[in-house]
Amino acid sequence: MSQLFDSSFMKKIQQLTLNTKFTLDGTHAGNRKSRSKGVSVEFSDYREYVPGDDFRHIDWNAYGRFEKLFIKLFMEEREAPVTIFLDVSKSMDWGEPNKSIASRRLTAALSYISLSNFDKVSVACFDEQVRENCRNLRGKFSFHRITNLLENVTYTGSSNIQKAIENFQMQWNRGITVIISDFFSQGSFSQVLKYLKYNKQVIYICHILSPQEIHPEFTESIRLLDSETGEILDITLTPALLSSYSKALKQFEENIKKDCIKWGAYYFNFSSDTTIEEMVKEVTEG
Amino acid sequence: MILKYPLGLLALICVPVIIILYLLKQKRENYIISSLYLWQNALQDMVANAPWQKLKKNLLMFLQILAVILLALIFSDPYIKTGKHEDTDVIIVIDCSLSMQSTDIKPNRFEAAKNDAIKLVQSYKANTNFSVIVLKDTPQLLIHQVNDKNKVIQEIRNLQATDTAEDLEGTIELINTLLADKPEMHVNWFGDNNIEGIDFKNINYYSYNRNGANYAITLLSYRKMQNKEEITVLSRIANFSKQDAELDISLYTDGTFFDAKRLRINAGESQNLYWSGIPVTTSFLECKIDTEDILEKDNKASILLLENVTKKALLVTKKNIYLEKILRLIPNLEFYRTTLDEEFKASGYDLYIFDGDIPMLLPEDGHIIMFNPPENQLFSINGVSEYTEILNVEHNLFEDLKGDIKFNALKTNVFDLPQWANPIMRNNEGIVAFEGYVDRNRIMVFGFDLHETNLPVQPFFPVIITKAIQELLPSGNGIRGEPSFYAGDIVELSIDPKAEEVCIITPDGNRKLIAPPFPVTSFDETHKIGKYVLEQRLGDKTMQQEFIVNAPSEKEFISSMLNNGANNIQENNETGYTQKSFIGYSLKTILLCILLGILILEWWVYANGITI
Repeated sequence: MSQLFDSSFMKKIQQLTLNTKFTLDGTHAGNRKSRSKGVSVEFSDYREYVPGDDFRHIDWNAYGRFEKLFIKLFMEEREAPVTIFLDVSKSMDWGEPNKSIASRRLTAALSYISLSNFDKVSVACFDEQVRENCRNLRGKFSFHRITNLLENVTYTGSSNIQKAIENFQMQWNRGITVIISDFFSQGSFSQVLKYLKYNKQVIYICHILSPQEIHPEFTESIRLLDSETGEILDITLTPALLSSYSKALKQFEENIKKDCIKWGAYYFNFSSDTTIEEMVKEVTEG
Repeated sequence: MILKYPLGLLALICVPVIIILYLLKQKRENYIISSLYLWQNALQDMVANAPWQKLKKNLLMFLQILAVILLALIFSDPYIKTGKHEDTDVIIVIDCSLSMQSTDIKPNRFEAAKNDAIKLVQSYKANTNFSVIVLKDTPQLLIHQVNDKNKVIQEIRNLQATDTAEDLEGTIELINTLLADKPEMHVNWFGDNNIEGIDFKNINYYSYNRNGANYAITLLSYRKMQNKEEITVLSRIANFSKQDAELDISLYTDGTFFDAKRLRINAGESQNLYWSGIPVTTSFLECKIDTEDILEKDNKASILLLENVTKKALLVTKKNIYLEKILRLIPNLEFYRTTLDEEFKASGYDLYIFDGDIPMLLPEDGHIIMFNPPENQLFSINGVSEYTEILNVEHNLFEDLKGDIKFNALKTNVFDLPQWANPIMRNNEGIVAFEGYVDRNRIMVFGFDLHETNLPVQPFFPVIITKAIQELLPSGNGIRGEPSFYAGDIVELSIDPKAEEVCIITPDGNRKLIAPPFPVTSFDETHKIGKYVLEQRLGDKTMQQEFIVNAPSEKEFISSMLNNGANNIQENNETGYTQKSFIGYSLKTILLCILLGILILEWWVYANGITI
């Protein structure tokens, strides 16, 4: 067991699995059962036949008793495809506690919960493109593949979320997509949401920032180096600049949140020092 | 507005420094962060990698520049000059010394100073009391507490420049004396000298010195070479300017060109120049600098070579081998000896020496030395001291001797010092020797018999007697010592006792009667450079002795050279003078308050991140 996913972490997510629901419709009402009615073995209800219904679903016993055509409704049971996009650009490997740790643990936790719910899980690590992934995993026994992927992933380059997701070759079915990133990314975030929505995805946006990004702790005059681009910026930290930074951060979060509202995505904002329980609880309970 | 210390404006150098600091990026510590995205949004001013950035409108920078300008002004101690002078008591000091005749300011420094002083007097209120001090060899309080402006202006207008050196210390002392009575008096000083050491509370200093080139002959002397029929002349040439100079020097003997030399002298230094092969018959030497400068008067110096005039002395004694031996050794002295009897009557001698008795009627045609004289109508004897030690008092006789003179006497008379006399020697009971003028005769009295003292065996005996003879019989005709002086010097005279009238003819041809009344011992009006003549009329005979007054350049220009270093004097181009003024209302306090306000504002702008 690695340091990242030690036994303590595993115990926590097993505990979380018992207490949380992470379902397709996003309302957290049933154990990966959709409220949409369909073909399955579990009877749900009757309704009167209307032209166009599949006549194979007509309950002929009921017609015998009531002389009316009734259609049998069954609870539709399906595998919910859960796709988790994890940002592994260089900017994610920063902060104290490191954002990479928090983001990978959240990825692992959500994967485990989904696998426990018999969902089909895909994890894709991206920067400018999806670099590594494991697709369509089923059952808890597949969880080790995910942890292997997460433990061995390297953080390099800058991220382009739009390019990475749009170019990701997969068969999109109605399902859940989670994006875990700091969103210091190129490409249009709004286009990403639009693309996923078009592919009938319930979208969860997990925005992770480090405490140092939320409240910078520099000395007065420093030269800032961008970890991804190597770009340089000289600043003199004054109260005025700090105030301006806070405004910029707030605006940045607001913009993401607005896009989420617009496209019906769920937005969660975490600091990297947030515990895994709190993060999972927030994501699963909404 | 007047700046008391214009050097304070040097602080303005900080203004470009501040601008450069804003142009120059600070050296910063590198700090890797996840992304610059938020910071760029926050700053909105991307910077290039070049060491300089475009100067932006930065409120902090403007405030800092303003603060530095204010600081520079505060250092300069600015004053606002009021239109009309408010002082009620004013001292005006006008430098009339030689250097004020320099022409680096037109027409010359002195005239410019006078004109400005008159303008200043006119600018005062009607009830102002003026005192005017003339700065020259001896400071003179020309007028004291006069409130008639026209009279003050007239007195200043009538002032004449002298060729003398200035007595700065004496002038300061005089001003301090006036200030002791009225400390609030305002001093207005018009001059070209160094006033760095002057520390009056209220002073306006108007400086007339543009540091023009000046060269001078500061010494001219001669020596007759032994066993040679020629004279060697030494001249010392000084360069009082700030640049090295190559000068042409000429020597004239008895008005005729003798030789010329070229000399290179470093700035502020002087050099000796020797001239040899001058005929021994030469009586007048003149040395000239031919290179032009701002002051012509000190470019030449001259000396007279005295002819040897033989004097006659009569020793009246029974026997005094000590005196006889010394008198024989004195050059240019014809010495005769006689004894005193009842029919003693002598005349035609320049000096009479009575050893022991004196005649009933003292001769009137010569000076007199007496040894152990009896009481007479000229002085009285107070008593007799026996086995006594005799000491000298301060007198010219002893000026060539080091230390105190002491000798012992078996017996000596002690005198009541007559009113006309100055003491020479004393013992513990009183005065035992004295000298002075009685009418035209100079009389020197020693109260002891040389035979009853051990004075003749003392090494200083010949020096004292020779000096006494020289005092009474100077080598020239009436001038003691060499007949060359500096302007402002006192000329010591030794007038012939037979003289009925004594005049001085000044270089500009004026005849000034200095005697009668007799006695006359000195002449101090040597304010002009040139050749003077001492004229003594003895009945039908007229005796003339020339003497030379040269420029006191060395003394005069030392302070002028020092003044060259005084850079904190503000120059006024309109009137040609430089001014150091401490008058008016000081803006220092107001500027300090504004500066404080700006610093607070700067802090507030910084703390609140206000930008323009």
